[in-house]
Amino acid sequence: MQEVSREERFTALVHEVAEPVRLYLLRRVDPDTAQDVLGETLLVLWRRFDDVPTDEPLAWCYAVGRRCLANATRTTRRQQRLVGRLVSAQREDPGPALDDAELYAALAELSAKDREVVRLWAWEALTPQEIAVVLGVSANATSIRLHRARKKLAELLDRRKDPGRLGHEHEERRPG
Amino acid sequence: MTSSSSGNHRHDHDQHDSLRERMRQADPARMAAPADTRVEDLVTAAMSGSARPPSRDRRWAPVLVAAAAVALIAGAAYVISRDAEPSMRPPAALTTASLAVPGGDSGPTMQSCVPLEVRYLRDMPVALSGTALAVGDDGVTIEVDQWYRGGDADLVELTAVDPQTSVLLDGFEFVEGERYLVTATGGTVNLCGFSGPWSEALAASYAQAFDDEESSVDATSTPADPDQLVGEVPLDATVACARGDGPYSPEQVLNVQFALDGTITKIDPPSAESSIGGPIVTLRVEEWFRGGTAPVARVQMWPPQKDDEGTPSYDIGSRLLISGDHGPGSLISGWPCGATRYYDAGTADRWRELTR
Repeated sequence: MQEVSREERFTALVHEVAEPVRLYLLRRVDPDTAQDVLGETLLVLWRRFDDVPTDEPLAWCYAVGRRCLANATRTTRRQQRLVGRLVSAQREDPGPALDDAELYAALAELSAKDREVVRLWAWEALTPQEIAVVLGVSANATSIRLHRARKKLAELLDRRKDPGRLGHEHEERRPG
Repeated sequence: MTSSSSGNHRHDHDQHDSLRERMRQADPARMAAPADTRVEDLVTAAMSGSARPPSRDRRWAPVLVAAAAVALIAGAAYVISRDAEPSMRPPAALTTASLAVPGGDSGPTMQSCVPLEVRYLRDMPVALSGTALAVGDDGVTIEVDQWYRGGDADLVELTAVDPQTSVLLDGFEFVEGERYLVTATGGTVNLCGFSGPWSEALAASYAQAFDDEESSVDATSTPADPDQLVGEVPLDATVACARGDGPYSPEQVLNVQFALDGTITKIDPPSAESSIGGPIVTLRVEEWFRGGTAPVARVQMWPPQKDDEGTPSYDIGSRLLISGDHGPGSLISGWPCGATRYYDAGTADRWRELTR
């Protein structure tokens, strides 16, 4: 059997992961940054190609993309700060154009980690085991975090759906 | 399992399904435009060491110029995307040097050319290798990747004596993103083949001219200590190592938020604060490579492994090189699997070089 070259294997990997990683990034930053970070991510993947797991590499690639993204947003923030042209802090979510503002507002209320766990679960459709790989934490801890984060998000959405309810409860407790 | 708890699970499941469905409806990537870059271009760019496929170069140029402007304003080293917070970097690392680039035929700095010979190179007080970050009308900003001699700045500004010739030097042009070898005498860049686009041949001449000096410095600065522990700190983290980060390579330091050289002053038992169940380690920081400035760092570490005599792999007094990311609260979460290492000058140099 003909040995498959390193270049060919890398090409196959990029075919498999470039689009999902691009979408992952698009869900979290503006398209220009997403494209830049995608390039950075592939660069890291090529440099560390020997480390990329051959079996189900996607979660691992998301993990690399996530770190590259963290680097890029840090740099962007710093750049804005240094040149004194800080127009507005970069939004972590590119959400405003979407219709479900309630959901976005609720997501924004979650802690950064909870938010990322829920997004990886719903948008990237990852299992808790895969989310654990992306975040570099144990699968157990991830399951628990995912469970709590979903619950919290559902509660936040409930509260938004029926904002009077909490106020009403408070009224009932009022003495007199 | 009681029937009521099973009912709760059922309810949870339904709730999860509808939550997931609602999230998917609001997925920002649902309406995403198709990729405007072909996979083949992405592959080519990555394999050639570039983070951007060719089609995007035009858009990238202003970003590089902006980056150079930042460097000029702040006098700070600026690397396109894999840099630490500037405010957190040790001030010593934030340096810019300047050199003049001689003008054309008119200037008093005009040089007479002699053929490139290593013995002439040896006399050059300044020699470096670096990449042109920004090429402007009045100068070029070089991000130094190696000082052969005569400096330690992260950035070098080549200022044109005559703006007209600033980008056209002795038959070669400074192009953003390209790598160059530069020597200077008396603050002025030497042309005539003594500086030029990076090439194996020119780099070999530089190495021959300057490397003896470098290796002799190395030999004296790192005395060998046979008892010194080296390499990876064995940690009780076999599960975490299976996550596929693979064997250690120094470049991994580019993928983390924090990297430091520190000596352990205190080890607190695992607390609720820690997300990995290991001790909270306090270190006196000798040097931040990335991500911090504080004299002290608190790191959640994986538990130490113990050798046959029960000696833990790290303890109070251990000097370690730790790379990690944001952990819970204000903690740094130290990575296992080779990313935490016993201090040695060579590895520290490499980390410093990579994160510069």
